[in-house]
Amino acid sequence: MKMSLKKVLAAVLALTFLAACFTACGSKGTGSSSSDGKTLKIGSSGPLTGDAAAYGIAVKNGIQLAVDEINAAGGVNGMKLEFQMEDDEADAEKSVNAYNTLKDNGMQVFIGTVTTGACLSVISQTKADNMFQITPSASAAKVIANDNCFQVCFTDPNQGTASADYIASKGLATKVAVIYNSSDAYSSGIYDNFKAEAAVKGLDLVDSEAFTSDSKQDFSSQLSKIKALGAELIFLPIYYQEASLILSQAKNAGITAKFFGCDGLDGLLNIENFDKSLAENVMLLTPFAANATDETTKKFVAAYNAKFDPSTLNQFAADAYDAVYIVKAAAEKAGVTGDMSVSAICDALKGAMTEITVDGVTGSGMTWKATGEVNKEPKAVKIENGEYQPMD
Amino acid sequence: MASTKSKLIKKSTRSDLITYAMVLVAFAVVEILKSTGNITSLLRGLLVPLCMYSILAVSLNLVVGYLGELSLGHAGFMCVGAYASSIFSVVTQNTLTSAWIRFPLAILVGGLCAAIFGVLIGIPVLRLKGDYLAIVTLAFGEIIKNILGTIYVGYDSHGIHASFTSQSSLNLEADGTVLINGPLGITGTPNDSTFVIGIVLLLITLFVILNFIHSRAGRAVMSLRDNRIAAESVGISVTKYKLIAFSLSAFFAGIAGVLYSHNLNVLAATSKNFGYNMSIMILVFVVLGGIGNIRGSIIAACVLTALPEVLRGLRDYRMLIYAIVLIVMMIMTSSPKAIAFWETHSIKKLFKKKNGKTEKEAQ
Repeated sequence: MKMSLKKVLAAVLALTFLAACFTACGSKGTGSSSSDGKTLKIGSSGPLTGDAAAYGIAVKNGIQLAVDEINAAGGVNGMKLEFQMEDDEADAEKSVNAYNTLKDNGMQVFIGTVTTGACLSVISQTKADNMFQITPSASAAKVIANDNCFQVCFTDPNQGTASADYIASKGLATKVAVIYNSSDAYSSGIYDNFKAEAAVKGLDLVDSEAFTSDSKQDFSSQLSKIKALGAELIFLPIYYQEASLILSQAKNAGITAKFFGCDGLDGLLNIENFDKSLAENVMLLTPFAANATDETTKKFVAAYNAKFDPSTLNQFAADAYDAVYIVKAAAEKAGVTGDMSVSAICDALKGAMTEITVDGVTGSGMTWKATGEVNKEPKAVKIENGEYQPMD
Repeated sequence: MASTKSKLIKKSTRSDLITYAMVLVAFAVVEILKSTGNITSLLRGLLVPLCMYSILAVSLNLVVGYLGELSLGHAGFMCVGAYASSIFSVVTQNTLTSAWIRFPLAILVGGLCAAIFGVLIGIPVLRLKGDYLAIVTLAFGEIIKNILGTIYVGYDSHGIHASFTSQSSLNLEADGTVLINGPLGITGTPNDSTFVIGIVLLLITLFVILNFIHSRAGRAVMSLRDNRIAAESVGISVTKYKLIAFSLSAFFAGIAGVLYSHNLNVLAATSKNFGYNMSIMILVFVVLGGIGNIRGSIIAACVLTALPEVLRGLRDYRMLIYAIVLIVMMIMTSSPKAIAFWETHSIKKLFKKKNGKTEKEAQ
């Protein structure tokens, strides 16, 4: 009849947690409905821990900077902005928990999520709640499948198409090779559209080499094949960590081809112990270059560096910063007030999104279609002397 | 009272009944909270995952606790169940419009596919023991995740197309449909998982596994764990019983995968959801809840799944506190000194001392 004491303890612990859980429910449940109309609550979720934490932290800082600036300048329609960020670990399941927590805390506008996979699982929730959603950096085309969701960044298909267009129209090369990550949605998404557009534009795609996230250290076999086929340009629709390895291995293999990438390569120059001379003459399409000379970018970079660690500044921070100003512009256009219901705010903002034009740090004259897709000019930059130089 | 009851009902049966009662009470409490509107969105969203992780922990406990083998590929079976059932639901969505018919079938499809994989993997793997078995199951789990994470599958009038490179190399006709879109996985799985179905599945899992343990086959499985040579000498077939326990465990892991894939809008095999981290997470539930303790597995799975979410108020320190709580809980429940302490300071014992006389008299 002797009961194991482990069981007793386990039961006690379980009860404690259940109690904690339920008391939290009660208090939060009542708190969410009280909105006095003087504030607009913005929520965001992204990876603050784990492999992709750099992106989440940049977005958090970017939003915080914009929120502070707007509040200091008098807010939106007389409302102050309130901002809360939750960690979703870039995971489909955790992002739903993060979103639900934000909702419990009275969020009215959702600026998220940071990563594509997490975003795809949240969109059905925001659709069901009719919550206005604008994602700074989730770039898959399916993210904006619902009418309540908008993007600040380019969609993957657009990046692939724009890259092929750019290479063809500038006459950078005719024989092109691609190295991409077949286990990554971002990379394979861009590749598919690059391939299609390259055929249209008459580029000769001599070779496509794939790798997966589990074998991303050694690219020598892919590179030697590309070298043998005589490619003049290697397109890298991948993230900067792998690109840095490819660049150094390509140098060792004696490859003289040009390199061209997308916004995933942004961050290449911030890698520790990376020989920056390897990145010399690499071209990339990115919406944001920290040393661009226009006034908006200069002001943003100075403010960001004064407030946060400058090494966390990247295009994600810029996208997030713009997202807040986009919400502000749409809210002012639609006359949104904080005492409106979440659903009413969403309907008002949704209508206003297609009518506004925003000049931000990731592009001037940004407009949106009702589908949620952004319309802005892609900027190409070239790395010269360890810095981004805008190309024309 | 207690002693007369124990004569009428077998001790193991009573323990099982407590487990069922615990699940039913939890269900009732949540339903009451739901109907009175005292439930947060966070908890509402966690209900299906809690059922899912409980099923995973209970099914792995069968292998770890009763078969006595360390399997680190449980997330792989979950992955098979999730993908198989998602494909089934996506394909039949337009013909079987009623979720009441479609979802039970999807559950069966997911469970059976995982069980078939359990048998296929079990045949070579179960010849190994201990560390070797753990490493090979780990490898199988990773292989399943990696294959499903990179494969493109679609169908059109010419049949099924598959590719490992890109969507465009499927060469589908214009009317073709892409089923698995490589790393993007499967989108558009109907959200059929509900808390009621989750609880029913958990109860079914408990019923089957608890009865299996108390059955003849279950005793054979436990005899293999305790002394393989002695068991063989009385004519118990090692391969047969190991395979039964292993595939039964895989079957329920597959069902948990069905709950997972029909709870979220998107299904992609990443190292986060079906990698070895998840397998080890499930193993942590089992070890913390007590190896061979089914009720403990459920409690541990619920506590450890809810804990990081409840701790969200601690912001950046959340995962740090989570790790510390995990270590403290392990020490409190498993270290010999802690157990000795709890034995001398038990409420039950104080209670027993008072009633000690009467119990002895009763005997």
